[in-house]
Amino acid sequence: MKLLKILSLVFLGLLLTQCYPEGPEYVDEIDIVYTNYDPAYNFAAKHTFAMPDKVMKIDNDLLNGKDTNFIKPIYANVMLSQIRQNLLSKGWSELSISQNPDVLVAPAAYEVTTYIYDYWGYYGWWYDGYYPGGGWYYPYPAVSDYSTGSLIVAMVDPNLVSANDRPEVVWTFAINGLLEGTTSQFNARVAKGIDQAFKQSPYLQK
Amino acid sequence: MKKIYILILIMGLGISLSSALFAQSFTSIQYNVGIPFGGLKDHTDQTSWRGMSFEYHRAVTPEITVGANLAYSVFYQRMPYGSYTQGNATLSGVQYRYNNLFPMAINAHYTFGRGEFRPYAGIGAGTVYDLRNTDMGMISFENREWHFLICPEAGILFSTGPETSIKLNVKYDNAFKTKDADAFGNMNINIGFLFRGR
Repeated sequence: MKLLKILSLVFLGLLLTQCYPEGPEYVDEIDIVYTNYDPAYNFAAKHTFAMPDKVMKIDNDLLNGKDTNFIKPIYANVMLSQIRQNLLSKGWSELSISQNPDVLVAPAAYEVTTYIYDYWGYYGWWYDGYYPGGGWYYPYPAVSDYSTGSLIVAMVDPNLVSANDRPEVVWTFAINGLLEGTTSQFNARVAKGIDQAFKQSPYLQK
Repeated sequence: MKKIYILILIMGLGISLSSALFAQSFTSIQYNVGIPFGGLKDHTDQTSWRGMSFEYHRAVTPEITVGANLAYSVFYQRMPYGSYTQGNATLSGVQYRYNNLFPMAINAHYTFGRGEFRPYAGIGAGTVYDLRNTDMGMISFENREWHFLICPEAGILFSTGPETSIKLNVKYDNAFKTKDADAFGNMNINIGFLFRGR
């Protein structure tokens, strides 16, 4: 009977560990879109925008005061085109920055790589000489990693200056997801995210 | 609430006394299916097929046993792509919701009859720890809460030998409201083995 008890416990334990719900299966299920806006801002009275022809990269060079880097055109062009098309379809008109537009639309992007790091796997240089046969090993890779990317777009009104002397952001959106897949798959996910940002911002409609 | 604490105290004393007075013990291990109610259903409204419980009782009289019950259930639900707005901010994506419940209670059972089929009814009181996660993208929102717990139950013991029975029961975990979390219920349908010992 003792054996039956132990077997029951083992069986139930295995059942639970094997059946724990796993979550996302596909990369696009991790994509999220965030928007926020200033409710006091009169979007209805604004009609024109300007935007750059590059997407700035937020990286260590930028943070250390070096030259600004930009996202590769193969990705940036899709981002810029999709933002432009959405604004035009909502009734906004594009001007150059010298034509004094109502708002400026400023996109920027950054990448974060997270390492899942098992540091004991790297201590072979230290313990190998002390254990016969080279010591023990981990049956799985010691390091794995994943990279996430974010596109952050700020709409600023150059005529509104905040207390710290910077133009005020009146609308912003951010897209975040895993940097996985082919270029076309990645661009399709980015375009879908940008469309969603405009869809959940009805106050931009003219 | 005071009455509930007295009930727990009496049950606790019962376990101590029964160890001294009666020798027979009952250990059960069960697989649990959970159906959510109240605040739990608001978060994850799908049936949990992942759960187990462990119970140890000692006889106080031939009909009455007292003991403790520990259980674990996980509820999961994948929400379709949707938008969630709070104030001026809106976040869109696929949500994955998890509820890990750890109920622990002191309880008493009254068993009817002495045949091969023995129905019983019981009640317990204790606490349930609710670890609640809402995952969206790479972000996980986590809430942890301890709820006061009352858990009535009823079931049947089907004797399979002098020392073993199959135990089938229904237990309702009624978790009370806290300052930060709503009340909720979890209807457990459980099946497993009961072992008699000395």
